[in-house]
Amino acid sequence: PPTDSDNPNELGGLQQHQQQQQQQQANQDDNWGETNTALTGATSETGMSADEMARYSRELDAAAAAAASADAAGFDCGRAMATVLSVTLGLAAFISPLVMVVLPKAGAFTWELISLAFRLLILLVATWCLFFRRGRASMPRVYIFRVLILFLIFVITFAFWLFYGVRVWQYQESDYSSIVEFAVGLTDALLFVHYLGVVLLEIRHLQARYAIKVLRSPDGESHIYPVGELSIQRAAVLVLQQYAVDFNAFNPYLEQAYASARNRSAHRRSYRFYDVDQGSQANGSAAAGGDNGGGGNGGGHSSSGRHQRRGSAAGGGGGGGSRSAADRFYDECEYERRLRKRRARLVTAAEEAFAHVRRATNSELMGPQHLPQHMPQQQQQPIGKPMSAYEAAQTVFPTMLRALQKYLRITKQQPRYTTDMVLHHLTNCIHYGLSAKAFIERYLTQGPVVEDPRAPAGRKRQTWTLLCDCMPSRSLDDGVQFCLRQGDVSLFCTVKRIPFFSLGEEVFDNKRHKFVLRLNSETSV
Amino acid sequence: MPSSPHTQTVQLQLEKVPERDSHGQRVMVKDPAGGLAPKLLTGFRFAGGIDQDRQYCPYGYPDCGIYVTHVYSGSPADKAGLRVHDKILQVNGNNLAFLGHAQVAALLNRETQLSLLVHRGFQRFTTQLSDSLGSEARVSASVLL
Repeated sequence: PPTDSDNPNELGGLQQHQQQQQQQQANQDDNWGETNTALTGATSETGMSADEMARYSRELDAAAAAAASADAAGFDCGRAMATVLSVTLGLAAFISPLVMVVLPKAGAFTWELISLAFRLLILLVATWCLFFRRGRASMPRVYIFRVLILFLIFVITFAFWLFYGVRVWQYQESDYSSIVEFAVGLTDALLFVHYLGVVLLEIRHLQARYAIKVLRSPDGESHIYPVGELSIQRAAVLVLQQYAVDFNAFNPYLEQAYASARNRSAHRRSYRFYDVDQGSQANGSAAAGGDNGGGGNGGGHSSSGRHQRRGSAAGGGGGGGSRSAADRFYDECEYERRLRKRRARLVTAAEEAFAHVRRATNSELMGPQHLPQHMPQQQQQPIGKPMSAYEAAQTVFPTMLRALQKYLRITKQQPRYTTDMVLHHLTNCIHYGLSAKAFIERYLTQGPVVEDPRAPAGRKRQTWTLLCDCMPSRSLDDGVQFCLRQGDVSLFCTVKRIPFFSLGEEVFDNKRHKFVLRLNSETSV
Repeated sequence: MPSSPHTQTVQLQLEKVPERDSHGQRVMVKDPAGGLAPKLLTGFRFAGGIDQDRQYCPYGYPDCGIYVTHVYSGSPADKAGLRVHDKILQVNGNNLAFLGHAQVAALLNRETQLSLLVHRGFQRFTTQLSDSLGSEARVSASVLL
């Protein structure tokens, strides 16, 4: 502790504070002092103080932005090379039967040429259908089956060219029909490799063998999906595709929605950092020695301990860690009530708004003089001039604007939608003649991830990180766990095997399939 | 009791028959006196009694009296003319109105010759209820006429 200071009262207060900390420490468990130094983040080298954490988070953001911009450029060297290689190999394999047939000068027309042409056509269409598709994902490790297929194609083409070269050029084989048969044989081999590719790449993983349970980290939502035989990275791609459709969009502000007004002020209060002990922390980093060292350590621990708790609270998703169970229960009940009230108001407002809008009938479009004369008087009054769907939306929107705003505010969705987006949606609903409930369905729940208009890193391309203990190109097995991470959201996946079911049969024998009435008290005499 | 074409009160006489096992031998049981006595069969099953909760009976009897729920064919009860859903009012002059189920069972097992006063008239009939949705619900009501 500093022995001189400008304000003697401050020093006295500091010493008093340290004495209090010492007393607290003495009252507690002896072992508590041992964990002391491990917990003090600010005083050890491996820990992080407050400004270091701020710097670290800034660096993370910068790195994420850099990665996003690099991905937005769209060029991934590894993927491009793999694509070029496979396209070259495929083209070479496809062209070789043609070249083999055309190369010898003697070209008598044989019937095998037609079958060769037909097979080549089938191979072309099948390859186009199956492999010329935009890839769904790029995976960290090599995709073993694709490499296997490419290797087989290369080996077969090479072997056939070798035999061709030996027979035609070295032995001067001039029988054209046998050359054509040879080319047909090569095409057959390529077709069978294509069949193998279909089975390995497309069909093998269709039969469900494992169930993957996906758990989202900050809010605990989980779903479970059946998958077939896949490698871990392909299973991760599948999980991400299902995640985009099934899970609710993650709203980080929703956790704070539960906090009522009084708890929110306590929450804000908890982020204050004391900097009174700043000078003493350098001295207090040594092992607990004498009183001064112990006091400094205790003082340093108290602020950094408090800091540590804040840090862990911030790292754990921003929840107020000091709320008791009763508070939490009460807050959630209150929130549910308020949510239901505002939802009822929103539904009523939307239905009123939609009741005003009605599709113009043909006679109204043509003008009032075309109304049939026998209609009762009130139907002959013109409702209003016919307008386009956008104008109708604009006219009708203010009646439910307030209710919609309040509902979006309570579900913390208001940063997600702008007025233009809501008007556009309303125009669509009126244009297609949808009802009020269809219009507000989008705003009632958080909605699936794929529809989130503020999804990170754009909608075309997303970067996820796969964390796995074993190599990602290994195939799935019972008990495998892996984690997918993107920013705040972590998806933790566990794989369980679906058991083998052995079905038995039980036949109804109508003569013996009878029933008796059960009475609670019946005696046979 | 009102007499209508569906109800009647009859007096039945039946004589118990010893039970025979699969070999034709008489089945012997211990009697309370300490010796062996042939087991006698009457040939019907009954339910009810003042200590029973009649809601558990699927037939829906209107009271807690003793009702015959099953008559074995070819038995003395069948030959005497006892029928299912008969209500037994008296056995050998003993009124069954305030007896519990076990007591009635003991009474019936004790006697060798039974003279039963039986009321016959329980009918189960079904009505059809149709509500505004057009579906029909069947309600079975048990009426003692």
